[in-house]
Amino acid sequence: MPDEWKYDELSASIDSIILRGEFTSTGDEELDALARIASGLRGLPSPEFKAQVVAELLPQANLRSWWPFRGSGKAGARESEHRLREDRNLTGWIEGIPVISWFRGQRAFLAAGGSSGLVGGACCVSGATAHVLGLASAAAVTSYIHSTIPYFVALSIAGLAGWLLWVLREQGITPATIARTARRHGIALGGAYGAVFGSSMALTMVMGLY
Amino acid sequence: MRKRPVLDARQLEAERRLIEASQKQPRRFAQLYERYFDRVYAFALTRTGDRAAAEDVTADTFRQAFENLPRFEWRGVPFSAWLFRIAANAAADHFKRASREEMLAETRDVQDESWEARLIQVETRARLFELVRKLPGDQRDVIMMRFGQEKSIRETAEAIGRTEGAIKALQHRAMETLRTWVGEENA
Repeated sequence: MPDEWKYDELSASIDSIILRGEFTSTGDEELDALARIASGLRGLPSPEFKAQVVAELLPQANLRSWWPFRGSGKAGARESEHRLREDRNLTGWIEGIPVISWFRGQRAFLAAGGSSGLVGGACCVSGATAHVLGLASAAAVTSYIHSTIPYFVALSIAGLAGWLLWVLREQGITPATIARTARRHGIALGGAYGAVFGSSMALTMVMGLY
Repeated sequence: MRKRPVLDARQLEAERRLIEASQKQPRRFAQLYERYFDRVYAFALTRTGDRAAAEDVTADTFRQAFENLPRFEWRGVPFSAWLFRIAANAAADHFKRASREEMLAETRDVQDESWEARLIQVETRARLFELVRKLPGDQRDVIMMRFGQEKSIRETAEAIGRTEGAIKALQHRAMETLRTWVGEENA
């Protein structure tokens, strides 16, 4: 049938465009006109990619309106306006420094890593606090930290993994999205976790409790 | 395809208000993203000629735009000009990272074209991407799978649950619809 011939020809032409980026004339003027339209569609963005980029940005946007990132309600709006004015004169140049700019973009991931690090080190902090308050002896605190630290660390890692899955859920949890997130935010996430958890461990070591 | 008209004073004012709203409430950045995604992606694709590279450049561009938006100062120039500048730098960074001779040569080739020619190419592509979203549901699904996900006719037929012949017919119809719309815009 003539229509089927046209469909097959156009399909072959589109395959060539998609796979090799080549536009080959079919010899039919009308089909060539359609194939030229098709060549403009090569590389059409996938909806998954579009959703993935905004999903990476919006968790940060959601957190920016929440303490400690920014105030909320009217106070938050006033603070935001004040910030804008500051950005344009006093602190604008500071925020132009690449390191500062990087920290601004990674705040959500720094906060998540830091919070998880705090959960991991909670046994150290709570033990040290109990010892300072005279509620527990050094030996008891040491024993407590030794026996509970694996559970706290496991809990913190599980929490961090859960948060990451929540962030990734809209873009699809695939090796590619995990690799992209790890590449972009792994340093912030891991660095903040290590810094906070390491600090809590260091605190107990300095106090001779661990 | 007809060039997208330059923004008039009212549209520029609306754009300024949206940017200021996004500076105060970062959540509003989603609107800017929705408005400019196709054009930034088309720019990146025109610049790199490669889907994976275009995706990296697009993602970097919006991330940098999001991070630097508080420092953006409105000067009456369309926001897209600022985004394109970021995208151009992101593309240059991408090629530096890749540091492959053929890719560098490709960039130089593209840069040889006039700025206006490149812009027309970007606008044409972006407009075509927008038109795809306006296609009837079944035609749109076929085009998205064929061009967006680079699926074969057989894979598309399996995913949609139709015969290969039906998919080819839908594909043909979608191309005709797009050609008609493009023709109407050019008229």
